[in-house]
Amino acid sequence: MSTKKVSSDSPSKSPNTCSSPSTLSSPSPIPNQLVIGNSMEEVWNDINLASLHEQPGNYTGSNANANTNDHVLHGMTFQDLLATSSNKDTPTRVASKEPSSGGGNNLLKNSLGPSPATMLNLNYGKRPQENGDVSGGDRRHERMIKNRESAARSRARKQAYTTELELKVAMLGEENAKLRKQQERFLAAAPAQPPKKHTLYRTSTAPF
Amino acid sequence: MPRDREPLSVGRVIGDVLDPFTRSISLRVNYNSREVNNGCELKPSHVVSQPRVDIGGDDLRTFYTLVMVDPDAPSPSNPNLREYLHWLVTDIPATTGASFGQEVVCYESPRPSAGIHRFVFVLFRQLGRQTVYAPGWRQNFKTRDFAELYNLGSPVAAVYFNCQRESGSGGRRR
Repeated sequence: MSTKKVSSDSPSKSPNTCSSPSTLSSPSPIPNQLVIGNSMEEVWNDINLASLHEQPGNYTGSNANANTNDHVLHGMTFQDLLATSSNKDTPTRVASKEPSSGGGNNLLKNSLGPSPATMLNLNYGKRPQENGDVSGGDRRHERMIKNRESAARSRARKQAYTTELELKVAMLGEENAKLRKQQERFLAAAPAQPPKKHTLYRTSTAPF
Repeated sequence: MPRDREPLSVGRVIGDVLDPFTRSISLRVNYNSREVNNGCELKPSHVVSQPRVDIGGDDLRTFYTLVMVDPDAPSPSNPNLREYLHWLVTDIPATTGASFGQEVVCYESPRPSAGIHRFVFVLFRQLGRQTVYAPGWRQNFKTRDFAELYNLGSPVAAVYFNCQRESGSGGRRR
């Protein structure tokens, strides 16, 4: 088993270059400081195991009360999760259950019982849930629909403007060509006419 | 041009405000020498005063009605005041402009607060000189119903522009 020390130069953006994260359900990057001393694949395998062990009823709001590893940190935001994972206290509390080393790993595995994607989606940009999953999911769903509609409107706007410009261009081009031809004809015809006389002259208008 | 590529259709003016129609009269709308082309964007400061409207046709004895509405009031994602009537001018003789007609509802400057709104000008041919009554309020105006009420038939021309609040940053990247 190779021990990969992943560098933490750009924690939130650098992709994990380890062996295929086949169990990864969302593209959200996990900051590299957490994965210290273990290969990525092992961590992900352990996460899957943890989710199998996890019992749905055991939700606690705060990390302070968690003394078994099956508790899911439902009330915390992901940012809190990351903050506490670097906390020195947590490794000792959760170190007992899982055999693999590294306190940060354990916290990560056990807390991310449900897939990281759901965790992020549920808590991203919101206060901790007060009334459970259902309304949060609905709001998210509504927001998604609204965003889709807005995107569709934006695309329609863009396309309408572009088409209109193309029409305009075509029309102006035709008009231009027509006017040029007319201009040519006028220029060609002008010298053939007699120059205008600026003198008074008699014309016959009356019958007598 | 196939109907579904028409800017008025793509921009959903046909659909939200009007039914499909055939353009037969020219309609030119100019705000201080800025001509309104379908889907172009104008700022509220550009459209404060009523535009110059020139219509085509050939017979001075034919009269036209001009309607200007905002189908995206108060916001395009929640247009519960659709359509908001901004201007209504009737008895415009062919080949002339809106200033020759009867202003039934005076021009109200567009001041969108949320989102990017469409502002639509629609031209109808009148059967004769007719008395048009102003609606009681500007919001929830229905151009389709209005046309039916006054026997205006299908529109003969339409054009629209987009407008968002002065400091807005949405829409086409400039």
